[in-house]
Amino acid sequence: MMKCSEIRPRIALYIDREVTGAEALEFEAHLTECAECRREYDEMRGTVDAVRGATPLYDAAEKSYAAVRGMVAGWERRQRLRRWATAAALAAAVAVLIALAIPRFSTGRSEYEQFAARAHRNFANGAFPLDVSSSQPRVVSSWLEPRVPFHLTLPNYPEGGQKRYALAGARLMQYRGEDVAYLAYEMDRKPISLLISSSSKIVPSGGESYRSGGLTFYFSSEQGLRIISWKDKGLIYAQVSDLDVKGAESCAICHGAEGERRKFEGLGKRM
Amino acid sequence: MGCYPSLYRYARSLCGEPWEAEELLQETYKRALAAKRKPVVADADEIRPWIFTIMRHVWQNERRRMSRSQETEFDDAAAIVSDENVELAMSRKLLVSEVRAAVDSLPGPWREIIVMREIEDLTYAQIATVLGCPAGTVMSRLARARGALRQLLTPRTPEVRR
Repeated sequence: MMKCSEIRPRIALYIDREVTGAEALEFEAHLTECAECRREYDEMRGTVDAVRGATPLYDAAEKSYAAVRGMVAGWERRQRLRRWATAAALAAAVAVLIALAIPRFSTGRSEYEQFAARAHRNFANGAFPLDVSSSQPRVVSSWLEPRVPFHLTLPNYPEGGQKRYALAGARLMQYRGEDVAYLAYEMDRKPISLLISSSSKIVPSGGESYRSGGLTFYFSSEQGLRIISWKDKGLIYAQVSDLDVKGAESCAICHGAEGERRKFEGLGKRM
Repeated sequence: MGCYPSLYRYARSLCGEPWEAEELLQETYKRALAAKRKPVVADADEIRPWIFTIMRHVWQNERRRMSRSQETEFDDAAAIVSDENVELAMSRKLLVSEVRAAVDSLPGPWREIIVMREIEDLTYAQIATVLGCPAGTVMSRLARARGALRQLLTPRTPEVRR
């Protein structure tokens, strides 16, 4: 049992809920038996209750808070803007990273080849007029030569033999700020497109790859179109057609004549 | 950040005049919003000890600036309470204005601790944080302040007119 000298200092602690558990029970038990301590407690309790009962004690008119409310609202607005700006900066950073990462992994194939596929579809749909229409490689070469940033002389394949395909003409296009040559061919009344660029930013790649004659050919398909891309002497080629053949066989369709087969010796050997 | 009434009451316990309290409130919010490190707490009540501390610093700095002298340490034991402005009605429930008059008549540090404990319900530990002193000091100061209030609020025996 606590003595009065131990109880007195605890009166305030008890009122302030700082005395709990067994100690509180012992405190309460003492008060029921000690009139002096009870009187002391009641007086302090009365004082505390009187003050607490006077809450809020000081009060200001609502307009007194207008200035600080405005301050806080302005601060919260700035915080929101900062959060948005941070989120936007993060999003931009992610977008830049993606933009930088994609070409490394697939733009060389997908963007350039998709561009070639789009050009092919436009040409096949008749929505893509050629700048020069001729079946003569020499005529088309002469027109393109001064307009593209690379040397271009179209060969007259197959040399001396029966042509399985025919040149239709050409057009100058812009790809990622550089001039590229679009060549249109036809075979069995089906269009074949060939895009030629000298951009060092383009790296041909694709689903399947084949090596032939020291070159690597990449084969892929997109919405029914067959796309072949390769690099040769600094130029990047993307050929698009809807010829229903797979992989390396597509080369043999155009270049399957006896005189040309030797040029593609080894074609069909998977890497 | 929306504990304006609570902070205003604390400002009133520090300053005597309502207009001073309003100025102190604004200055405190200005400093609090500009603070680089703010407490991250889910409960708005938890932010009070932090913002009370800022208010106290602002108030102390202003006092030092005005008096241009070193502040003397408050002596709880030597504090004197004047009850000349406290007019208590006899034998009836105390009015808010009467309690306010009693609280207002306390020396500043006692008034401050009474408001923090009885009105704002801050714990001893929170009060110690705001005052920058040990919890023991809080308890002894609170006991003295309560004792003074008890004296002021206890109905006095009316003088017998002869």
